[in-house]
Amino acid sequence: MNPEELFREEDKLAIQSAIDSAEASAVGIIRLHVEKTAGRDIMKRLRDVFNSYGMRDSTFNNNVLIYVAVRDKKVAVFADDGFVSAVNDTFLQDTAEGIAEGFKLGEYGNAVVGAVRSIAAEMSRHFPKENLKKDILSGVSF
Amino acid sequence: MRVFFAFCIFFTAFISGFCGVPPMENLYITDIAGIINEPDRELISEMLRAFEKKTGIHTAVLTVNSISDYGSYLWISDFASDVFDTWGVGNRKYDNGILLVVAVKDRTVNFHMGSAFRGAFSRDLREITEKYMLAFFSVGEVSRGIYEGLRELVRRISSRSAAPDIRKFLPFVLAALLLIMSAFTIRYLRDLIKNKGRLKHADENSLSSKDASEFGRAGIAGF
Repeated sequence: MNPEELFREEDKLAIQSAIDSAEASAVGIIRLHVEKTAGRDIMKRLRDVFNSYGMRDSTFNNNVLIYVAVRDKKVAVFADDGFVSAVNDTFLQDTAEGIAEGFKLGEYGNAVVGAVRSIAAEMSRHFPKENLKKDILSGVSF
Repeated sequence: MRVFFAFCIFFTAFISGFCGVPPMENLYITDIAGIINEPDRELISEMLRAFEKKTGIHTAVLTVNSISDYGSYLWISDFASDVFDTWGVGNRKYDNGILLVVAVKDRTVNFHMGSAFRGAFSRDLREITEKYMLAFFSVGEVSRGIYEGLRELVRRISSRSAAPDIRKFLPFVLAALLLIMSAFTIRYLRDLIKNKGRLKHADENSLSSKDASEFGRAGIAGF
């Protein structure tokens, strides 16, 4: 299967809107990256992709990347340090396995949308939009 | 006529016997008055030798009983100047010698310095003479006074013309360089032995384990 054939058009729209609503309620970025193969070192590839989207060095270091390597049959949920320290230790693994379960059933779109929703829930809980405003305002004293 | 010639010869011999300066006995110390005792003589010679080696300044000491033994000198400075020129104290090219004359019976002291100093130490010389030499002279310790005065002069000249001599530090610099190089070599060899020649591989490992770009975490699953 080619990466382009993984999601149908309606799946892509659904994922897009899920990400949009997640980013509307929380400070943070969620991205989905699909490619053929991760190469030999998947962690290195994850970091490279993360950097290539410019997701590094955000205010709370809490951006999240959902990654699919189609030919490797691997799915990964990669998060920056801020997000990692905020959420449950098993959250990333659980979410990745959740997506993998859906993929096994051929539910590609739904699996990713579900993952985006659970990530969004964590994000808006730990990094709500008001936090940013408070943080910015706290620097001004008058 | 013969008598006149004889008288002339005798007179010139007489005059020249008293005129003219005493001969130099030693490169550093010519103790005609015999007032410098043996320990001080050693100390002074050693000090002046070291001083000359370090700065290239030749210093000579002359003690006489009285300057009047050597002609009709009124001032010790004139006598010192003549001795200085006759002996050729210091380097001829730089004229940087120093001559200390002590006339015991006259109870006078004089330093004569070559033109290279341009009177730079005249105040020091007065101070040294008064504080270091005459203080000892007045209690009869002439030998000690000469040593103390010279030591102070040597100290002051050395500290003022203290351009650090690179040759003095060169051994230390070389030793330090050698030490650093050997430290690096030992580390290199140790790594080489530890990794059985796979030095590059070892470096890559040690780099990636400390890399600042190592961030974030991932949950990975297969489908």
